[in-house]
Amino acid sequence: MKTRRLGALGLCLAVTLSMAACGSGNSDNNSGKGGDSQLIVYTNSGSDGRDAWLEERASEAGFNITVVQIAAGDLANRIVSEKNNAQADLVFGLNNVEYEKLKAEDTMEKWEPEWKDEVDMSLGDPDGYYYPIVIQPLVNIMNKDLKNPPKDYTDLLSDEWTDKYTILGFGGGTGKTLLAGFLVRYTDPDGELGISDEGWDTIKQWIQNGHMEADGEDYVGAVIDGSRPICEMWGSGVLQNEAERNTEFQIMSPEVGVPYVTEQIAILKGRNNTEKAIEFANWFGSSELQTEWMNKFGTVPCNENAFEQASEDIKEFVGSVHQQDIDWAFVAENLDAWVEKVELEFVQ
Amino acid sequence: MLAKKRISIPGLVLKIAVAWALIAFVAYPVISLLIQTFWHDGAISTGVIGKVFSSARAVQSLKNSFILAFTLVITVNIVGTLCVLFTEYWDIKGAKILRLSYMTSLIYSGVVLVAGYKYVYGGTGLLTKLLLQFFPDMDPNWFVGYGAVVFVMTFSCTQNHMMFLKNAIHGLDYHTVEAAKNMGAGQAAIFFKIVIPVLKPTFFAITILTFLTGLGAMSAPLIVGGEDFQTINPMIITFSRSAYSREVAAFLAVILGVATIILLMIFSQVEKKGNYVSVSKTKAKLTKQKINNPVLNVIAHIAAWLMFAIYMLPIILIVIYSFCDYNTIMTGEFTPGSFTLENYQKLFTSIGAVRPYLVSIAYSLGAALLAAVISITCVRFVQKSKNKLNKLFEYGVLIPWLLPSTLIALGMTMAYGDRNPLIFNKVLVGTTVILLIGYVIIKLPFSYRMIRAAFFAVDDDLEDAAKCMGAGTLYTMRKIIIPVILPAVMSVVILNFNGLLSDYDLTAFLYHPLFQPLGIVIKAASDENASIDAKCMSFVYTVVLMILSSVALYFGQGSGMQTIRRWKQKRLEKKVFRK
Repeated sequence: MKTRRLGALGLCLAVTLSMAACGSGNSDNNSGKGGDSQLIVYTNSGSDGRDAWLEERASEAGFNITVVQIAAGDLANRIVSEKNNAQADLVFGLNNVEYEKLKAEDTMEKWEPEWKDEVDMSLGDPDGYYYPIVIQPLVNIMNKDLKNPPKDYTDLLSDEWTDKYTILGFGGGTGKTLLAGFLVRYTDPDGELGISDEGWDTIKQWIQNGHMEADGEDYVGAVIDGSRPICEMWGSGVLQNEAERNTEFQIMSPEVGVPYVTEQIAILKGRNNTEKAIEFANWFGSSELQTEWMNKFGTVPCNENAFEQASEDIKEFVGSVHQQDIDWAFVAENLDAWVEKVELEFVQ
Repeated sequence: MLAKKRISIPGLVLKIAVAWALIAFVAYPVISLLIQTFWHDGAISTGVIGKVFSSARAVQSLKNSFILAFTLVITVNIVGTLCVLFTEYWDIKGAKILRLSYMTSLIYSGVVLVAGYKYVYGGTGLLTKLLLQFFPDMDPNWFVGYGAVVFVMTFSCTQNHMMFLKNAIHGLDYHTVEAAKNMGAGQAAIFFKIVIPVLKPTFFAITILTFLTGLGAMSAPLIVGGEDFQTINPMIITFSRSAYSREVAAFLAVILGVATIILLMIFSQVEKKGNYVSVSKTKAKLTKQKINNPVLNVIAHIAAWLMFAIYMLPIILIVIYSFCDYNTIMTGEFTPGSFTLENYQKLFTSIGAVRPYLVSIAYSLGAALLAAVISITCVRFVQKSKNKLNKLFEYGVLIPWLLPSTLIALGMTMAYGDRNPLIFNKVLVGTTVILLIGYVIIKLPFSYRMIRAAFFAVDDDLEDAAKCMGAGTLYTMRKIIIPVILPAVMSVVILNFNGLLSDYDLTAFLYHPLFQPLGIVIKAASDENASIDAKCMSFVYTVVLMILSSVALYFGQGSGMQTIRRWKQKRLEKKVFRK
């Protein structure tokens, strides 16, 4: 009986090992080549059924693709670590800061999409590595009945708003970028990490006067029931939460504008499917597909022809804010250091 | 003399192979990560020390981690031992049901477990609502801070007791208990002088594990720690994800690592002072002890059933919530419209949805078995050889305890992202094997430590007898040693399997994009960009994982296999009968 059990164990082991071996054999063959024109697409924007929809829609258009959804914080890390054995042909999603890192690590091909003239190229890369697809304005949402709402971040520092606003964690894209948007207002070449003392002092007050998001808490619920009526939110999250929770929010619209995160698309190096990948990117960024993408998932397309066909609430939301002027190269260079300083010194 | 010096060739080959694997996959990635992080321009960077120690938050979090670790060593050992005694040693009414409830800590963990406790004790929780009826003035958010974290972790970290202490107590020779009784020893004397000493090696091993769990605490402080009781591990994970702050992450991890080394050294010194091993060749099976003192008996029953309630409430709520919509989960207000089957329908929308389960099962099972095999081999190397150098195997296997899995994964991607002569000029990043290797590595220290403890129960005389009768090494291993340590090995395999099934921290760095494991899929479903419906899915996934883990437990603990064998036997008998 014991021997048989051991035998079973051994068999399992053998099977798993051989499976692993086969697997690695296959990927060895594929590495650097890309195989039979199947495209692997990395994105952090594939949740909520987007990945499945895109795969299906692409196959109708004659593309054989696999969409791999990877959390934002890990996606750029992964592309960099796979530099010498690239596994994906394209990447879309992320934001300018992350793409700047990918550019510095020499992981992308230079290319030019057919729809280049239909998008605002000031959102993309002047060097021609990545191109804008979707805009996410990052805002603060507020309870719809909130009286005398604050107009800017700087208003939040007063006693009136102590513990009344939620700041999202700086590990996530939204929290990190909004922090950057606030910090760049105080740019000072002589200051610590390029920020003036006044700036650091303001940020410290802002963090310590507010509430840092805790894991698993319902911060949107807190906005709706008024217990903590202000909260940071990414663009599609505003519309999504309004629809799903059947409510409306006020949007804080500072005079300097709000940070626009732009999801981009780029072709990765080290595969020999580049032609096909560019073909796919041309298709995916086209006004036709971006309109469908918008209608299906409530995104704000960069493609102007697609945006013209947007629904009223999307247009209204985008119209209620405007873009803050941010030097993304400066942000990309310093953001990690800023986050570290803030996490170590200001967060309590 | 000559015969003794002869070296067995297969043995040597095996030794070299294992040594190579440990150097290439365990030591090298960790060391190269540490060097790349701390070695800048030909000098060790020291700026990080100032950064960390001038941060009030980092220092406080570090302190909290240590406070938590020391507290848990005491509380988890008490509760865990009680769990085992109530179900295995003392005669308590309803022990079978109690055992099932105490074993729930084996089948779920992490964020959802803590969330489960929060739904009982938190601001909108069941118990809080009940208490508010009687004490309207109390603070509904009372379940927060040090006490709350200790409470949750005390009850959720008893899985090692339920596995290994249970095995150890069944290894007790009942003859010794009876002999003591005959000599007039009281129940207390028997318990402290006979039972506890036999359990000592297991207690040591479990205490180390508990201490490490406390140091590495993650979900419980994040969710119920509040602003006053945050620990260091969440900070380490956050920082290790950013290339710039990796130095801080590694430095904090090294502090925890040094504490771990000191603890391990103290324990192996204490252990050397002697372990009590049963020398009986014909052990008698343990009989449950009735508690003679009626007052103590009643107290024991009350305590046992109170613990039953503490264990069951969170898990029942999680199962119920997996059938509910998002608003119900967040507010805790049930209405007739709260219940839905939609969550489960979404789980299997397509055939593709089953794939991550298969991938995870294959990887976890493979890694759990491999880790066990390597651990057994290394324990033998260390125990059987006179050469002190063999002790290096032990240090090698324990290295992964020094760093959190995120950093180990990073070390592997940095070490094997390009062609490396150490592994014959192959690139591992982007292949399917790197995840398997990663899984094996992070499970090695635990497997080694628990299997080493189990080896104390192997009687050297039996082994010598086998050898005298001409049995070879492999035969002795298979027929004499494995049967003795098998319960412990199976427990290790199951715990590793269950722990790896939904792993995220390591998996995120190493998985092959076309073979997505479960942890990745679950994370994607509860991502911040996911719709609120998707957030309900984390409960559904937890329930599915619970079922998978229970199945693993059922088979691994033997009763499942026995049932199948009996059923086969019956079918066979029927066939024969018909003829």
